[in-house]
Amino acid sequence: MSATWFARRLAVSLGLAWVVATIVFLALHMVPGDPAELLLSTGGISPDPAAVAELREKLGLERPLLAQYGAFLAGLMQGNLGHSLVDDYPVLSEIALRLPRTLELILAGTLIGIAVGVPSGVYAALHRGGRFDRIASGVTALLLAVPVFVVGTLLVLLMAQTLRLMPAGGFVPFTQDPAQHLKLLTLPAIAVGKGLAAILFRMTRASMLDALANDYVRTARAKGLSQARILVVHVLRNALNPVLTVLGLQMGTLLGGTVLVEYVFNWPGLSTPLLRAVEARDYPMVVGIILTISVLFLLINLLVEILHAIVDPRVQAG
Amino acid sequence: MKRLWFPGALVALIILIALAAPFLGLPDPVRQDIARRLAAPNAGSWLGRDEFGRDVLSRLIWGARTSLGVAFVAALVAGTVGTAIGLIGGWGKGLGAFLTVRSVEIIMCFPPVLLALLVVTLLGPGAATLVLVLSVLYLPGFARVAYAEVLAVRSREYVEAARAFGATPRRILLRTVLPNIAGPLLVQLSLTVAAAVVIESGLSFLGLGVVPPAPSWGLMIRGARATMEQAPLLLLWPCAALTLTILAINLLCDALRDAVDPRTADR
Amino acid sequence: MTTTRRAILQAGLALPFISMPGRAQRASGILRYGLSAFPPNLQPWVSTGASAGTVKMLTHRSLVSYDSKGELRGELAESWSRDSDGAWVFKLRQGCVFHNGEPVTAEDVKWSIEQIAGEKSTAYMRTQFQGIERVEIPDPKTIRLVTALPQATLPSWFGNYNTFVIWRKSAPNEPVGAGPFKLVGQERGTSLDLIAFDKFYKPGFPKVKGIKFVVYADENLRFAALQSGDVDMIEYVPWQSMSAVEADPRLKLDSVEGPFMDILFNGTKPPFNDPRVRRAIAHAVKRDDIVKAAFFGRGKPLEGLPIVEGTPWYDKELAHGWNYDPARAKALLAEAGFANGFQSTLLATSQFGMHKDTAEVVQQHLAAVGIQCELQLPDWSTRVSRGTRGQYDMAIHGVSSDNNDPDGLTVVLDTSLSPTHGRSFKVDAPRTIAALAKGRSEFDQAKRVEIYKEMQRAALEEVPLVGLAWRSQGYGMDKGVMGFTNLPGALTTSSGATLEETYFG
Repeated sequence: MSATWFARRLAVSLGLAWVVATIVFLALHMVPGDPAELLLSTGGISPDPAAVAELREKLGLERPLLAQYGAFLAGLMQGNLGHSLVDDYPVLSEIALRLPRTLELILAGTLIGIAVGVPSGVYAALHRGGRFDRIASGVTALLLAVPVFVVGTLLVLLMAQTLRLMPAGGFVPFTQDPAQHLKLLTLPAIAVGKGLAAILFRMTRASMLDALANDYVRTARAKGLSQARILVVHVLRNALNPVLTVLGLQMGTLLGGTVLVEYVFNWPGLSTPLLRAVEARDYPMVVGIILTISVLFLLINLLVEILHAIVDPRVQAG
Repeated sequence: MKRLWFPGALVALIILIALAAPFLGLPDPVRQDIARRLAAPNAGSWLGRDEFGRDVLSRLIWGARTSLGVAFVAALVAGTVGTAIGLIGGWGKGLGAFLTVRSVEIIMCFPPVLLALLVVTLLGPGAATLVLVLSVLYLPGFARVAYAEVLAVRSREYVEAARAFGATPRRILLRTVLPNIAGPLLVQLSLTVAAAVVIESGLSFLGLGVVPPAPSWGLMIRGARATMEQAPLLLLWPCAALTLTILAINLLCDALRDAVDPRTADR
Repeated sequence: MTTTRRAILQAGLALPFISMPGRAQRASGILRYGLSAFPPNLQPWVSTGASAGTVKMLTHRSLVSYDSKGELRGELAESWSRDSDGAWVFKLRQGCVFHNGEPVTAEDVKWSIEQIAGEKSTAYMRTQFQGIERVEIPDPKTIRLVTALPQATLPSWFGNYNTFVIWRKSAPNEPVGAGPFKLVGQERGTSLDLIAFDKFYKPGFPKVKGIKFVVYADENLRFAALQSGDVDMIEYVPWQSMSAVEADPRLKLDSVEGPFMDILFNGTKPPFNDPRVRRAIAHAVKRDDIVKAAFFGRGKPLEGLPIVEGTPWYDKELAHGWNYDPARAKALLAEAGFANGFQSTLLATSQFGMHKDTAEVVQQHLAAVGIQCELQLPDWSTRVSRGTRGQYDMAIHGVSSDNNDPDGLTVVLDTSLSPTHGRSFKVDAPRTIAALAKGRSEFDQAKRVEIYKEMQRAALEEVPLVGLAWRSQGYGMDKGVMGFTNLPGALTTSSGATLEETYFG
């Protein structure tokens, strides 16, 4: 793939990120609700309008929208996402704290998805039409049909509530209590990974079947190569390419899907502060977090495209 | 085609029950009876009563109406607008086509739940907002399908022939191109309905969707979580209804895709 | 108000296997307290909610506070009285020091009052304090406050958790207070660490060596943390868990009926400008249903103004002036020209379960008398904004008054004050408002009782709001936690102050 192609795609992605930031910034300021008024009425107490006006002044909300936008862009150029309107905490610090937790959840979900989906897909393809194949295909259809928050809710009901095997939710830093950390991670990771496992199962199974039917496998068999060797050298290698692509494509979906999972399991990733910031109309915090997620989303998409280009060189032309 | 009838019948049945809700002699789904809140299943109310003493079976069936109604309307709006954008983008050249395709790409920069969250905050929750959010979310899917298919067919012989006969672009697009890409679009439509049901219930679950007391599966799950300890069954019913519906639509999608694109049939 | 949407949803449950060794913590003398929300910020004079208030009351101190019966008692001030000119005079206690060792002086008190009343102030008590004309220091132990109008309840202004005395040379973002605890560390959104201040002016207090506040925004997780022994006590016990706390042999529940739910009206939108319509609505709602559906029976119907039973201002008959009587509601509607009812909207929020649940019950009962209203449930921000700007017909609200004196109801009843989300919008209630003003400037207790009964009578007719239900506010704790008191009525959110008297039994 050529450097210019890459540069162009990167430029487009960054341009899109800028558009996203602008849209979010402008849309947010059109939403009803005033951060100053809200902060001063925490607890249901009615604030004095004069005090609200003073706070708005202090927070810089009285400036014209264009000036606020300019200041935001200027800050962005220097890699500064601003400070929370509520407690003046740097938005970047909050993201630095929370993003790794979201990524950890996605990573754990992906690992579960791969660990479950790929081997079972291989096995089902090798024993096509067998009992395992039929049951697994049924389970897959079911897994794809259950919404993430339903899985989460039912997992809590079953594992935590009824059987009392697992904690219902929460978070403990790994450094503080590794065992408890992993325990708390398990259920949300299953909720995140279940869809991926189903998709990977289908994809693996299908591309395995394709590969098995190919001429080179027949030739290899004819040459008398062992079944295991054929499988590893020829079939799996060819079958895993499309699986990788699907995996990349799914990462973006996972990024959005974690919002609900974090919510259900009280996992303190990026979505908790995002929801809280939206509720408090904490503009810099909302814009910062959405921008971060969107940029990640775009980067993943770019990565997938690159992956595609490597796998299938024709893509570059388009 | 053989595989179409079972999921097709299932989906048809669900739609039929939803449509027939007013004629089934069900109790009023919003009628509260606080004295009998959290009542267990009994002869008067087969699935019991919720935290306000409302009949759960009735809310489940009326909830199907809400969820499917929102999903279908949104899918149709997304399908119409998205296909139009795709057709124009695929057929036309120059700035207009470029802008339509690019503007669709912007939507795709947002993870779906985040975009929905923003729009709902902006406009307030409600069925109308939901339809809007879902249409916007799924519009790019249609645009992409239509765009790709138009590019694929625009140089085919029958299109060339129509052009040679002096047909206007609009006529070619509507009469010649559109019928030829109807299959993939139909698959896309059924995919969209399934996805829209998921997102609708998810948003209602977050309190960002359908406004109470209107029944919706997402809202029912949300309500049942608070009383999970006292009445776990309340949680199971809407979860089961939701999953079953999505499963049926998904199966229909698979069957449709196989019918449209025989290459995938054996997978 | 701390129960967030997430809190309602996330069913965190008992986590029996992570029972940490609670005894070890107890031996260290550190009380572990489950907060319901992380304080947005800890600025001493700005109101940022009850959770912030709890922390601030421990790190700061004002002239007075409330004792376990809800009566004012001296803190930095030893005594107070009105002099012959009608000014309030506070005598300062000797030996009080700030956390940096500096003595608390009359100059510090004066400076703090001036900051609150300042032109650029964002303080909660700003308006009231701007009514103080002069702050005089006749001698270093005495503060004299001259007000423009007579203020019978002025001392209670200093009982609020947004009026602390701060060292006058504090840096802008580092207020130095004189409370029983010092804030030594915090992790944003997660926890706060307090240790006892060794030079606190009350000998023998605080009784614990420190307090660790851990935030459990999720109400079910908060309860689970108490159950498993991760914390020694929690605030805001979720209603559905109260019976579980009571049933647990290791735990105890301390609950009072403090905050209340009400209906607010937009007086600029007909027909809500007609008091007969508002009264009809007051008679139309069956309060019991709200207590059952929204609060799991943990509350009390409220069929009059929110005056606490057992106080001198309470009158049994007046307290049920808006009894549930759908026939009367219909008659009143007919009288107002709406025999067939009308269409309207009811604003609440989806963010807080109790607001949403209350709204659903109210909607049902209004429909029964012919008022069909559509629910509007935006998020809390939008609800606040629309309330302040009068963009609604009727609204559901939940609040507690400032204190248990009926003057504390001014903030919810006086519709002539600037519009906010917590009061009806421009509803005419002249007699109620006049009675409130009269009560505020009257110093004779017997006369005040009479005035406030008159105020209740007026309000029952003018209906500046419709009372719906008291809701129970509960603290759950280990049976070994002693000395904590849930303060009565509206003061329940100030109960955190009694943590200085709390100890392990």
